[in-house]
Amino acid sequence: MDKSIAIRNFTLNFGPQHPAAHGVLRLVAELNGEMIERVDPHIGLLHRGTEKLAESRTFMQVLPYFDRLDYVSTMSQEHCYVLALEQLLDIKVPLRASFIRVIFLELTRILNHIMAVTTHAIDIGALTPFLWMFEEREHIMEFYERVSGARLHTSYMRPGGVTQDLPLGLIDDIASFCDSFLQRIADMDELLTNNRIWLSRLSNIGILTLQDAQTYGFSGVMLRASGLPWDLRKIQPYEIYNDCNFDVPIGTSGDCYDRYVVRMEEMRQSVAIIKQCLNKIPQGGIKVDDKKITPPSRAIMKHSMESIIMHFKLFTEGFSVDTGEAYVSVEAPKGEFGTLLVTNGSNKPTRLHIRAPGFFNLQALDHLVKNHYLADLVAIIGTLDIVFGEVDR
Amino acid sequence: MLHVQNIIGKGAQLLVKSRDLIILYLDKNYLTSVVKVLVASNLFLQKTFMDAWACHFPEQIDQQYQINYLLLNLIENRRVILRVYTNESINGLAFVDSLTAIFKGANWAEREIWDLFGVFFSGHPDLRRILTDYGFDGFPLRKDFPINGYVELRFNYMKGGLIYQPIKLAQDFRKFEFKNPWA
Repeated sequence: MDKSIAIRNFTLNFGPQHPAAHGVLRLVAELNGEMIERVDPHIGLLHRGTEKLAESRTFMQVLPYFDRLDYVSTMSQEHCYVLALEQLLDIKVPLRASFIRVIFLELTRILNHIMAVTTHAIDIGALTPFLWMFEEREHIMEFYERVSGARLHTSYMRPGGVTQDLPLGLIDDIASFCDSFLQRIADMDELLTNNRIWLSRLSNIGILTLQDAQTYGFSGVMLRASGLPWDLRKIQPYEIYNDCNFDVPIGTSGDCYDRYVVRMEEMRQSVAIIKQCLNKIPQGGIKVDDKKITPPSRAIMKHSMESIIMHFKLFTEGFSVDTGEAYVSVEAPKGEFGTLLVTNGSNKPTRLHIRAPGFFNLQALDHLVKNHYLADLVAIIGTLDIVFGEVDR
Repeated sequence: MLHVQNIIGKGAQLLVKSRDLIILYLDKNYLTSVVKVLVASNLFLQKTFMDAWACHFPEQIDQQYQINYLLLNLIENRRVILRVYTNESINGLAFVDSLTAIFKGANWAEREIWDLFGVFFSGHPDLRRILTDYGFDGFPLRKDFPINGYVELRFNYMKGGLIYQPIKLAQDFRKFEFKNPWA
């Protein structure tokens, strides 16, 4: 007797309000039993139209929007925008400002990688690293607050430098944080790196070959874990990375475990960079000495009429940028973050385009989860380190 | 890299911005063939797809939409921007050939350009909207699209659900003209 049964794949809707979706990711997954055959990520639920909004704001008003893209690595993105502006304005940042920027860029990298690794661990089922390390994030955000007044959305970078100088004692506090932080990483290392569950959940999951990484436009940790030492801080050094001594960790197999290890090592390298900068930071100005771009100081404004006028003009009309175009990419914690700025001589950008690393990383999700179990989907989303502020822009 | 024009020939115009950023102006009919050369030839090896973006210049009558692809060479850190211009044809759509067959990473980037600019990519396997809402109408990054949009979404108690309605603002968005504030 011929008894044939038609088997239909099961279609699962995952998110957008699922904690393991790391934000507002909606996935439509087609399952064959427990095996994933295809996923279709639906993004755009956090689309705020940053690129459109920028076209009606002055250059300075656009800057805070960059904090709101990837809200766990805010300074790196401000930095990219500011670099694009500096390229168009053709200005050079004072050395002290460069040092301050690098210190905070690396603090940002630590901030982001703590978030990436520990929330990944939560997705896998390990809660302790999260509880331990978020205290350290709190310390870093305290440094943010001391230097800019805000814990998260700092708006600290400015074209031509940074907003204000480091307050007294901050250098000592960051130095002592660096020492204690290495101990915290060692603690987390002990919990996770050789943990049997962690290993079996991550190794050989979501393998990304170098060839696939190239055609999908991966960058940052994802590319390095696949075995290519590609780090823009080394390859096209900006600010003072040229003078810093650090290593670029790479993976061998390109699986989730490699990416975890690379992130852990990058945090240690960041600490090394911060320590070098703290030792070498020179005295001097923190903003470029160009009155057309830098607002006058409060002290001068108290007795100079022209300064008040200049200040008013700068914060209403802003400065104008000659017709031009700049594409700047930096090594943000999540990968290569790029900013394209087209200007036409007015005080507003004609077009701002943002290359968000998360957008391209998430795109390959379908490729990465194919023929994995449903439980591994969560591990792979975690390892992609996506934040929807930047994916959806 | 300066030999690129000799190899690629007609339809390409070269602009070297800096040592590691090169802009290549192309006729849109040659786009895919040039990309194939750039990827496969040992002289270029621009194998990594980094980014794609569009710009809208309504004042350029025949070349309203500028489509850019950024390709990266991971060995020499050389970035090449391929730039093509397109315009709405008589039946209404501006289109460019899709690069998804060469780079899988172009998929979402092209969907984004289609979503925000309304430039069609012929040969794209899955050209749905990506960033805007389900059922969105219009192309928001075009210069003639108002920054407020046309509709707003709100919860309606009577219907017990979400409804779209034409946008109502207490005050219109004011575009301040700094060059001539009293105009």
